[in-house]
Amino acid sequence: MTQIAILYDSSKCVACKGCQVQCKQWNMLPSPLGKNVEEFSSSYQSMPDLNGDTRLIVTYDEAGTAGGVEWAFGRRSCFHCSEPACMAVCTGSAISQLPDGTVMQDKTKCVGCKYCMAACPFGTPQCRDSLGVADKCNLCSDRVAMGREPACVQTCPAGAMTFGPRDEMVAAGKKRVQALKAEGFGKAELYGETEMGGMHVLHVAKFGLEAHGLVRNPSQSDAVSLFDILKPLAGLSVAAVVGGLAVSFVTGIGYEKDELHAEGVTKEEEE
Amino acid sequence: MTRYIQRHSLVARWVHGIVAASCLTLIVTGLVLFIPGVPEALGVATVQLTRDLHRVFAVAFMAVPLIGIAIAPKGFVHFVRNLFSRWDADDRKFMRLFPKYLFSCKRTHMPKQHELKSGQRFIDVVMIGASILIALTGVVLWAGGGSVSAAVFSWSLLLHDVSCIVIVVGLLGHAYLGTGIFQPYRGLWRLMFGNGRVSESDALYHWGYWAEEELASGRNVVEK
Repeated sequence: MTQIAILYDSSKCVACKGCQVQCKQWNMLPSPLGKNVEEFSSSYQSMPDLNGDTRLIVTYDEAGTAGGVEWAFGRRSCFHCSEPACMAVCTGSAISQLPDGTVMQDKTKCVGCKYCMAACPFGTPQCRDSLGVADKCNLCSDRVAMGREPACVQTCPAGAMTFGPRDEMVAAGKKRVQALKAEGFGKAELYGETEMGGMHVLHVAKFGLEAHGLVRNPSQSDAVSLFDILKPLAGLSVAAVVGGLAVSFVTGIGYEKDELHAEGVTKEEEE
Repeated sequence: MTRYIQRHSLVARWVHGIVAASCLTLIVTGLVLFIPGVPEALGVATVQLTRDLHRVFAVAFMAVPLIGIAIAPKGFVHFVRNLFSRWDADDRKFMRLFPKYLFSCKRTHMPKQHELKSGQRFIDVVMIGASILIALTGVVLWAGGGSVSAAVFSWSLLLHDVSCIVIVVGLLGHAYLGTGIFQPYRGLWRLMFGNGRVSESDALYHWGYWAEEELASGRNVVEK
């Protein structure tokens, strides 16, 4: 099946947050309604970060350039990695990968262990406290299955997001990076082509990865990688010990204890 | 008339019993998340229940030994002194011979031992150390991913699982010997799960030096 991807171009993004709102609407995610409910963070970001009720936020960073300080907008959400660390540690098999590359999270199977939150190098899955389960972007798999674009892509007024076959998105992203470099944005990079086995949400980072808050060379933590060997090792260890003790028991069949007394003489010897 | 030595106090037996029951429950409920496919097979509601049970018994596992120390501090000090007492030639010989003893107990004569056998001292230190580690990492995991960094959570989870494996492996040996499945140890389950008394013959066989001291002093000796 054809792999799909979203290409986000930070050079076109105007940070209107339409995508953020549309994601909430399509997925029926709640937002705090009170006045000044969220603590002021001295940023234009609506939420300081993703949370259990927010799968997508627009990030506001600043980049120093020859022309002064410029906005370095970003789109923070699940990157839908080809080698998802969250899926590797999920205990309830709630996280799976569709043939098109979408990393799906099934809330009906989630047991709320939060292992995915710790395993993700981007800190993307969040705990939805009201349900006690993890939550993250599902790439609008329901819309995609009907031949539509993800809600965030459809609503973007600036055309900063496109959606389609992954190889086409990669090609478009590379072409855009070259165009930006030609315009003098020498640090422009495409993010997501090879990271984590290749991601299905690609970023054109106009001012370089760090300026947009993107993690360079993300990888699964060593602790998570060690889990791959820990479980078989545990099974083998227990099996080896049980096997050894079973042999010990068999060799001890017929053992008879001598009756000892304080003088060190056995009852038989006394008689 | 048979002479018995009171080896374990009521406090020791109760603490051991509650910790043992808690430990077994923690292992079973912990394995629900550890073994692939089990959470999916059991369903979310059952898994949530096992997670809640895990936390309840974790509190017992941590709190009961501390309560035992508070109730019987002298007994705790005595236990720790035995645990870290210097090893003599018989202790070292016991450890060297133990693998052979496990697989040919009929033909292996073991050296006399003090109140705690050297093998037991060794495994007790390992298991108590692993228990402390599992408790500390368990508290971190319980606090949750929001309270600590992802790296601390991941490493705590790994160490929690590693210490569980150490405890399970140690427990298998401990139970094999302590419950008397291993033939020379037959009947010793009463020491912790019965009245805490050991017969003169068993005491001399297993803890010769200690038994001779106790029989000579008569302090903890009961005749029935």
